[in-house]
Amino acid sequence: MNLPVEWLNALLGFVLTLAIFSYLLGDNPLFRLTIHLFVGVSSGYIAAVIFRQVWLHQLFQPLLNPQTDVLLRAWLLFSLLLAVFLLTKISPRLGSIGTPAAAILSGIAAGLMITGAVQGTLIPQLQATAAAFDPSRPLDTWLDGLILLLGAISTLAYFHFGADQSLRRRWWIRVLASSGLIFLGLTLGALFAALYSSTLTALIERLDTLISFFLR
Amino acid sequence: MDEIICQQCGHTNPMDAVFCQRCGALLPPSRPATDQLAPTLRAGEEPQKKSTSELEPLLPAWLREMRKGEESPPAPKEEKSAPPPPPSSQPSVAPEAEEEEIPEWLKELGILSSGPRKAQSVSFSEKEGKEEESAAPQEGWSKDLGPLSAPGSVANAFETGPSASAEPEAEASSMLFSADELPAWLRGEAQSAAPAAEEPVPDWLKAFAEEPPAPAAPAQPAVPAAEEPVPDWLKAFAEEPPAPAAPAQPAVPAAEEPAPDWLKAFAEETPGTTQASQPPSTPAVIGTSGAGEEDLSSLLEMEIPDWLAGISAEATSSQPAAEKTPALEAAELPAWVQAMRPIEAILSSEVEGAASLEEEKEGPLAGLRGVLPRAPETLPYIRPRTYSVRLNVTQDHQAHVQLLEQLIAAESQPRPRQATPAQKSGLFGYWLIAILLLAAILLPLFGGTQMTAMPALTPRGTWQFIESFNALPASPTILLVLDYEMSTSGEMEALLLPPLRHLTSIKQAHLAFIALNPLMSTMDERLLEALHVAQPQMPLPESVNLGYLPGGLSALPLFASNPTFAASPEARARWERSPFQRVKTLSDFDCVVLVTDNAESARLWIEQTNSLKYNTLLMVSSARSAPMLSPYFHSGQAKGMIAGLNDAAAYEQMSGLSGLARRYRDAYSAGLLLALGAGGIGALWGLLIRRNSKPQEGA
Repeated sequence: MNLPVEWLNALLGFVLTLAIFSYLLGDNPLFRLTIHLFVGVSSGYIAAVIFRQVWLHQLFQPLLNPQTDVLLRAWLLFSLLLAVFLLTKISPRLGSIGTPAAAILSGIAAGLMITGAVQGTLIPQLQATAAAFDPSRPLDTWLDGLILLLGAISTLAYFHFGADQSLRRRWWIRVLASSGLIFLGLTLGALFAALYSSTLTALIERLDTLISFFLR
Repeated sequence: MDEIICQQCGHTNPMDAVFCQRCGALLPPSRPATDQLAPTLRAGEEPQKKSTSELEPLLPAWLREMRKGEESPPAPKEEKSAPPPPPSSQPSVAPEAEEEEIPEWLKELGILSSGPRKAQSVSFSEKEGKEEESAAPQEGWSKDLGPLSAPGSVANAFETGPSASAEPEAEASSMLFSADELPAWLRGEAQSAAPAAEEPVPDWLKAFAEEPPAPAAPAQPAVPAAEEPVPDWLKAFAEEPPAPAAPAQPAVPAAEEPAPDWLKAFAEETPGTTQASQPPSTPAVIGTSGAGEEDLSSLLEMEIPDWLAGISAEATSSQPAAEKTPALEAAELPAWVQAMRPIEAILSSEVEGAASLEEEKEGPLAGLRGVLPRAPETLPYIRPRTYSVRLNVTQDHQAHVQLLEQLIAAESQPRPRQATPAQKSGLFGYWLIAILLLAAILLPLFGGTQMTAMPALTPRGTWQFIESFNALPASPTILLVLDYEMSTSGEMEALLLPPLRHLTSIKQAHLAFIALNPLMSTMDERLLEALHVAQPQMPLPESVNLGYLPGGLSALPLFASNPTFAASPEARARWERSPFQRVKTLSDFDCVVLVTDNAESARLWIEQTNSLKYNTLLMVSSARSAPMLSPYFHSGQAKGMIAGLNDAAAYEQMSGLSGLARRYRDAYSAGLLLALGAGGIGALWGLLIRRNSKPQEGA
């Protein structure tokens, strides 16, 4: 019984993959049908997951459980109230009711993001950049640090648009900006190559799935 | 000409209209037929000499006689009176009027029949309104008055004002009244007019001087009566029963005859009695003055002239004094005289007639009818002038408009797109690259070739990744954070499978899964299935799926402190029965592996969970997000990192575990070579096209 189901799954995957590849011939109904199918199935799946794992497990079950602490129950009720308020954002007339809930979410997210960015990215990155110039480090580390420092400064100089009285950049800023332009080109080229590499791997996996279907 | 054209808006109004029917502006006065030949002289226009001989028959008889008299030398008497009088003290004789012979009616009006003239002047002055009363002299006028037996001088004194001297007044009196006609007391007053002001003022006059000079204005209208022929409006006015004229008449005869006894006695009365005989001397004034009715009755019991005897107190307003005097002839005025009439004269007769019937309610004129001219209570609303906004569009303008419309219409019309040779070559290259790429990928996959060598050098991240796994204790608890999309699942599975095999086959690790993406909530089953396919002989590791972590950014710190807070009850129960029961926080895991293709969500995870606090963070990153996440590896926040298929191949080679990386490596290398070749060829093609296009541009 499992074999026909797996076979149907593999067949469905094969057909849908070919439908996506049909975009090579241009935009066509088969491609659009597959895209809409993917979006619809994904949305339905996400809704089911959220209802089960969030609404059911995190909200309704604790609320309906008589053993739940009163304080936790009040807190859950408050959360439910905020969620209902957020639903009023659908209506332009009643949207202002959901503004406090949206403000709470935005405020919490902003506070967390700023704190995390400073503690998790800014300070550790500064420490790592400064550590590259540790005398005890090998020479290649110094070279890496120098390239990193030059790249950061020159890239920042490229985006410096200040000018003197002659409406031109200062000469040293122009030199740094030229270097920054080189670093920007290398960075964008590396990003494109990485994106191509990732996409190529996904294509290989899909084609391998098709081949495996035929060879199976 | 039966219509009047408004000077404001140009609207044609009927002849009898006073205000414009469209804009409500005051219309110019309707002119007689003779005036059509002589247009009105407006401000700023130079008078032009015109032949008016044809208008000679239209002139009145007295004017024709006067014009004849101009040819003869003027009378010596008029030459004597030539010195120009002060403007304020001699309003009754204008300079132009002095040069001309005064007509009979004017003689009667100004000299012989001073009684009616005075009555007219007084009544007209009351018609002038209270504005002129307020503009009348407020001080000193009573001193110049002299005895009340000289009403003519009283009128002149009213008009003189504070700046007027007594000397011009005396000259004016001499011009109007002959010395023989004046009474003795007035004669002496006229001869010593200047010193009269310096003489001690009698008590009654002092009191008179202290009175409010409200009735001073009534004497002013004597000016037009003396200097020009009586116009129509004045004639009509003379025929009307001027209410205040009768009370003022007792003072008029004093100018031409000796003051009667009753007036002398009146002059010797107390100031309060004097006030009762002041020029307006209306019943209201009497009523409001300090004199009582007994004084008034005693005054009336005196000897009064015949013309005044018949006037009772009640019939003052109903019996005009003008009826007792010979009526003035209606003079035919030339157009220029009519144009000089005051503004009240051109008001419609209806309005004036209606106003004359109105009774004064308050003030010194209370109880009198028709003493003041009235304009309509509410003036018509004057609409603002309308200006034409029509454009003067010429044919050139219209041509430009048509051209602009054609340009706009041409812009909105779709133009057929013609394929250029460059586009055709681009479409050919598009298909060529697609075919070559598919061939380069499918051929190694179909053939199952392994021509491409495995990486000779192991990247530092991969090496540290393996070292971190090797450093883990036996049966470690591993948390796998799944944060990637379904579209990259093929790549991520190829990258993740070697470490999973390493963990399960070598370390016998226990796996816990948490998904940051709802679509990854059940991805653990797919990974375990792939693991089972890769090593079917090995049992599947013990695992717990914590499901989807809702809340995104806000839930990460909470998850770091309590990994099971978002788990389902089934997952929690399983968690408690598994080796994970000792895991209370994120730092209790032996290792955390972040599997991601999204640099942003991976950054948030690193930042919010504070990766430096827990033991080991390893990253399995897609090639697309690797450039953005490598700084976290180089900074030490992540101990190891696998990025892309090349790192996975290096991992397989270093660990000795086969996987998808080895299987995909030939196709992957072929695809990279094809991309490099296509990019190089495209760059050369572009250089050639640019090189060929430059000479054409130069030509």
